[in-house]
Amino acid sequence: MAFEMEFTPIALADLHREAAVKKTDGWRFIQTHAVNTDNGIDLYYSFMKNGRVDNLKVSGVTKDQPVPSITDLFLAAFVFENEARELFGVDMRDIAIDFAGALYAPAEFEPMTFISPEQKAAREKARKAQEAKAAKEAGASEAEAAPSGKARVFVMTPERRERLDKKLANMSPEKVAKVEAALKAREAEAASAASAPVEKAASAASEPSGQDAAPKKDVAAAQASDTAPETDYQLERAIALLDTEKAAKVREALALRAGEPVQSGEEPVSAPAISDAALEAKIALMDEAKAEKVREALAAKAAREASSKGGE
Amino acid sequence: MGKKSIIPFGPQHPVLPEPIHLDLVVEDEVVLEATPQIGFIHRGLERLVQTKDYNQFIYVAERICGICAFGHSMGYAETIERLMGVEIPKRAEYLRVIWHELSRVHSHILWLGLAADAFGHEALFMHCWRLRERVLDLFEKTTGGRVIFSVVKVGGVQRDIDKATLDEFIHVLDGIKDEYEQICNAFLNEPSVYNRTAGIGVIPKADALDLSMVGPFARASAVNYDVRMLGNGAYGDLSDFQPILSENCDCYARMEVRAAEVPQSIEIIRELAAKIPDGEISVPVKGAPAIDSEACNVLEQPRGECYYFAKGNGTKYLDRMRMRTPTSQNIAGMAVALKGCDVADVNMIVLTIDPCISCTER
Repeated sequence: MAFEMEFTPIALADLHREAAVKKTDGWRFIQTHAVNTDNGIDLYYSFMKNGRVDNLKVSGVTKDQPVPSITDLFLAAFVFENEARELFGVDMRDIAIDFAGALYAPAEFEPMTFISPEQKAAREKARKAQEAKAAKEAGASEAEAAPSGKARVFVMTPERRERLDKKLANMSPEKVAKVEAALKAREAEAASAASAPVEKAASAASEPSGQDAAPKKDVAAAQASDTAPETDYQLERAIALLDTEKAAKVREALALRAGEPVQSGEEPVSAPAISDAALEAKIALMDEAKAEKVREALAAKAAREASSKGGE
Repeated sequence: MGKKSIIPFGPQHPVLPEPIHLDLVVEDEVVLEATPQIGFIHRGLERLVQTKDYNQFIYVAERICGICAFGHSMGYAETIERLMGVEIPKRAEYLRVIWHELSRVHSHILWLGLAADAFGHEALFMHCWRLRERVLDLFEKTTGGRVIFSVVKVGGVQRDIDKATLDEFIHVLDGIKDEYEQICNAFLNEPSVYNRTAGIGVIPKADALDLSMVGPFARASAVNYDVRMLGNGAYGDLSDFQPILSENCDCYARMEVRAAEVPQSIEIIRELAAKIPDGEISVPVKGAPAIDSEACNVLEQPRGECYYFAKGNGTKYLDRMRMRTPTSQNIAGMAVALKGCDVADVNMIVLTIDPCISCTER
């Protein structure tokens, strides 16, 4: 016998009959409680048999809907039914021991149905965040399915160096040393990733089949440019789901990216500027540790792709 | 044929540790009907869950009741862990159960003291509570608290108990055992106690099932149900667990069951202290319960099965937290048990359900 739980949705009209079925089947009544929702009150009737807890759930009960009492079947429910009436305003009928609103006699009428504006705002925000996350996940899976030309490695541009120097000026020597070390490691990574395509070029030159390399490259470029508008659309959708402050930041980052000289010339794997910008904007939204990880993953991917092409 | 009259019993009454009111319809000395009335100490703790985040609420949960404080924090934490899909380390499960069983020991000894007080054995009452102090000292030593422990957190426990202290637990509990047996001898074999409790407030097994009674109150009516036999958490690692039952169905049987549950709990502690694995005592829990996620949980409190329900809304504040405590479930049984009894026995019957009204109303 082990503990199991389940939630079974039922209609209000079936409630009393379902409870009677549970009684004849030998289920033990556990409790009743109400939950306040946007669409009315949800009522839960819990029963147990052999370690299994079945919660019958009646959703969206409004105040003008009479709810039949189950105290004729399970007397123990009288406390909970009185409670649901007083704290949630559920219209309970025919309770065996009816306190007629004097169980708790709360100072406020139906106190459990009140949701403060702050709570409402917090819940709304959580819902939006979840939707944004779902959209992002959907976007990521689509991008994965399509062949991507997004891979790029970290390149230290003069502007970046300048910004970094400004930041370093305010840091303690130990921190500066750490940052420098991290930078060196990253550059080394970039160098190793860059060396792969060089090898590829060399092998292409030495082999007679190297002539095929040019059309292949064109196909890859065409595929990459095909994916670009789609990525752009996904990005717009993601921005639309954000709150205004964040969206403004993202747009700023995008504009900055578009204004910068296109780095594809320096990069081993060429990619359209817009997909780069989209990626950079996404990375800008992450926290530092995450962004670092993403960059690393991208560098690794680029290296992998380059080496696989080199092997062909 | 006497005249019917109504005697108001409680909420302030020497035998009642907590406020419950009964309207006793009596004819001569016989109670014809008893209508319970609660609601004197409703504090709205279930409502508080919307303004305290799920980590903070654990401290509210354990303030629901001063005697089952640990059980409430444990039951609440287990529910949130189930809601968020968190698996806690084995050592934390063991520690929780050890503290919880220790709570049962002190709760049952406390109840025996109250029962002794109810049937007029002042000295017996004092002996019980003196013994209980030794258990409270163990709590103080390992958690820093005697009533509210605050050692449970979502994802495990806050404090560890080292091997030496666990050995001391066993040593102290063994020391209690001898004295406890002597006290139980007075409860179970003393004719004056027997006369006061045997055959009083009888609830047959069929009625107990019908009234959905829980805990020692139900087990005294031979209802074979104890949440611990479901094997949640470290209870699943016990070599054997059999609920303690009695066929007598009266006040004496309820005393008998509780008296026998104390050594059973001590044995559980002994077994778990010997088996406890090494390792972490908690895991970090991040994020918030998902929108519209629901979970429920049951836990055997000293007074019986306690049911917990939680619903998340994507924020760190829960949408709803429900705690159905054992006493709310047993009030109906008590009202039925009071029918047909003598006025003088009302206090014994009310006491034998071990009512905890602050739990009931929260």
